[in-house]
Amino acid sequence: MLEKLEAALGSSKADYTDVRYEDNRRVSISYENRELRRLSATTGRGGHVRCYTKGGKAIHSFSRLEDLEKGIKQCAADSDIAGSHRKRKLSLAPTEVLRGQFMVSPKKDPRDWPLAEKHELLKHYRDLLMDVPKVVVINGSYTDWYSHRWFVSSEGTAIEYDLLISNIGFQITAKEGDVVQWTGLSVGGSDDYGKLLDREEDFLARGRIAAELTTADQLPVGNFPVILDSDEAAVFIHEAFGHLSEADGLQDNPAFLAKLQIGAKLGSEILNVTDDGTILAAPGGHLVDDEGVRTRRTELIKNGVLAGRMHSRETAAEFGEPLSGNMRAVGPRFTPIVRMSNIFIESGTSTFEEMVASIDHGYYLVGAKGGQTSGDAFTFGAQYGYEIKKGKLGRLLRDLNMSGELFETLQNISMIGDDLEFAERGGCGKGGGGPMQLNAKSGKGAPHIKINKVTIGGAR
Amino acid sequence: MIEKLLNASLELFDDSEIYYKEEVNTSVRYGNGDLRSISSNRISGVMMRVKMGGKLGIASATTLDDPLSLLEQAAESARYGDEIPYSFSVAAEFPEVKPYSQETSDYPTEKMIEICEKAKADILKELPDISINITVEKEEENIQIATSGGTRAQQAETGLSFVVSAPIRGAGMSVYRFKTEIAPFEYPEEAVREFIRRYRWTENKVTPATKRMPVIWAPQAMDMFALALCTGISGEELYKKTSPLMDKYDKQILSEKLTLLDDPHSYRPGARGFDDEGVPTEKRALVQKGVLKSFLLDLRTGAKLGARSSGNGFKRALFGGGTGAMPNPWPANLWLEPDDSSLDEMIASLDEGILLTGGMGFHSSNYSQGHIAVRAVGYMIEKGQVTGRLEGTMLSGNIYEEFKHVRAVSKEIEQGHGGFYPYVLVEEMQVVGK
Repeated sequence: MLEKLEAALGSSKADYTDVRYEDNRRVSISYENRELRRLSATTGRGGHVRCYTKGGKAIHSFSRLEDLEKGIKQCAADSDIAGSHRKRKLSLAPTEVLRGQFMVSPKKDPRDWPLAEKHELLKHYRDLLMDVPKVVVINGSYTDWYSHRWFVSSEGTAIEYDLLISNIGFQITAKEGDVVQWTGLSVGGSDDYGKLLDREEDFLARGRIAAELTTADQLPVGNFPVILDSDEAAVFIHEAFGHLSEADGLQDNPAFLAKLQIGAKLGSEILNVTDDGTILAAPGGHLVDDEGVRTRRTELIKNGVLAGRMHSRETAAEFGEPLSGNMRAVGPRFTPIVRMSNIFIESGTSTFEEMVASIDHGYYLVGAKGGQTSGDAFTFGAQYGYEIKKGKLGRLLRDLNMSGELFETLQNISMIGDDLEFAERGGCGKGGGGPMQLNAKSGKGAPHIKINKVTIGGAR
Repeated sequence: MIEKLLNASLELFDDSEIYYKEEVNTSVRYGNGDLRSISSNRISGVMMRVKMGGKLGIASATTLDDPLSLLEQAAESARYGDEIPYSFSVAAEFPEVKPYSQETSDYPTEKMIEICEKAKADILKELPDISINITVEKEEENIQIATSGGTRAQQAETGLSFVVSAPIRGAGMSVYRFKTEIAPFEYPEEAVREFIRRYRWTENKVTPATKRMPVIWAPQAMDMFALALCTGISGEELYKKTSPLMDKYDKQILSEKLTLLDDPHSYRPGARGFDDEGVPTEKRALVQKGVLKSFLLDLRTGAKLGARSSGNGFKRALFGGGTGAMPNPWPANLWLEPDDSSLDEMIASLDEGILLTGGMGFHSSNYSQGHIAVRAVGYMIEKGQVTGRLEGTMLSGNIYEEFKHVRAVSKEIEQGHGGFYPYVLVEEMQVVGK
């Protein structure tokens, strides 16, 4: 495959050309209660071309390998048009020329398990959850995805690499009277099938919470101190801060970039945030990115001060900052964009008990339930929470949503736990000016954190 | 190719369905006032569903080039599959819908660049300091569905779209306007003018008081309302018995000022003669003067509920969807009926209220129950004037309570996700600010 791609590359009239080709396999099994919604083992192939000419850029995606030469020709011609209109010329930061293989080496390879056993495992967990009182709907899914990739560039890089993940997730809906509540839990997220085994207690505990929530109270609205659990804190750092550390998003937003100069003080001294794709056991681990740059560890916030950011070769050149190996595409029809690998808040020194004891009236939010950000504004849900009164955890609460401004909230992080954990399932949606790409190979982690003030918007 | 695959599958399976889609598109993207990239795609996708011994099997791939692999995948899948209570669609007449323009298909890249350059110049003349992003895209899509029951559905569609956006100074949020048509349009003057007006509204930031106040829902925010409602009337939620509208058929669920149609037959972007299962689509009222009139069913949920599909089986989802996804009940192309008010009249009529143009965090609201809790994106209105953009504002409520009290509906209609909506002025909702 590499030879075929390199031969086609030779025909390009562009100043720089690269081609990525993918051969992907996905196993999907999903149930809704006892009904099998999907069981499939499918394939997907295709490729993507990028050309730069006279400082202009063009990209092209194709499905049929026979269309490769035609695609390169169109892409090269488009880059020439782009170059003739582009005012501020684009360039690529220099990178090491790579050749050879960069392959996964899983502890327990999900591809070694037969489809029938994956199916039985999912049904086993489902059956346990169906016995939890008040639980009315269980949506469960098993997924594994193997992506075999080849990348060549006109600079001489020619590599073969792959990505692999497996996971099991459940969304558990409970109902009592008119009140419908759900919780969810995903396990796995990396290339290790072993993480999917023996997880009965984890799923059951989350199922029982869904049932309890149907009689839980709703939150008042207002501004309060909160403690976020690891899952919720990880979503916060991913959504609210992580996306702003992706340089491609800042390229077209100079006013915002001005706020985010390296050296800017963003939080208190206790705050350290890192992106590290070399942690292979977490969902975002990988060896090389989709423009042939090696994965590495990047400090984003060091002692409360902005220390670095995630880059493509193009943004690294434009910003004059180091390469970070964060350019990734989720499939052959997509161009790589700057993505978080494994972003996390580094462990601090506080215990959870100290955090609870420090709050007179506030809330403890548990379990991520979606999040969204636009610039410095963020909002996200929690699966459930507890009231904290006079330093003690109290009643269970439901329908929680919190929001705030990033910069103010980072300053308000007053305690950081000593209990860093990575979320087992990765996941991140980003368009980056193109179509939405849902990247399962994006991990996040955090310890418990205390924020002195956020806006809580409950059901009323 | 499709006929060949279908014939081969007949020898192995009792019933088969092939869905094939080709997409060709080109887009020109300007970022920060300069040409960021020219992008093109020539891509395809195929999904096959089969029944073997009453059991469902699924296969998918990017091309039709390897039929053997598709048949093997489908057989393997059907071996473990569940029995399904429905058959794939059968031969039917489809309504005449042609959302296709040869001129769009032939639209030259240089002309797309010209539109971007002119829009950029016109906007920078009025707002010299902003960082402006513009995308012009032409798209062409060809969908084919064939079943062993005789369905032969094919539709080509085109679209030319223009999007302009700019981040707001001192915040990270953006103002945007867009326009999409089936056939090429002249320079999108209205979108550019409205963009400039809205951008100027963002100069001040305002955090409203925490209280109940009137809310103007812009078309781009109405998709939250539509999605919450359409989840409630989806066959999926009905047979799961989790819909809050279970026993609300023919009952008043919204203000009588609201009539929501599913209208895939009128000539506008999103028009479709058949759904993604090859069932003819229907033009019908979902809500008529506030009264619930109909539900969204695909083949599967229809069979579960003892009804036929309403032609609403689509490979769409809030996240995901696409050729390889299973169809599920989804509206075809929504149309909320306009009335005689206007956005400017609504603004002028309010002493204190907000104009909601979007909401962040919608997907973490309990929207299947009608509940919406979002960070509000939009503008503050005081004494009949827009006084600035919203900052630090949450909005919460339940559409089945708040949309019972609608004061006015505009005559202007704009495209939002999933359909076309007017501006809707809701009497009051809970706003959380200071």
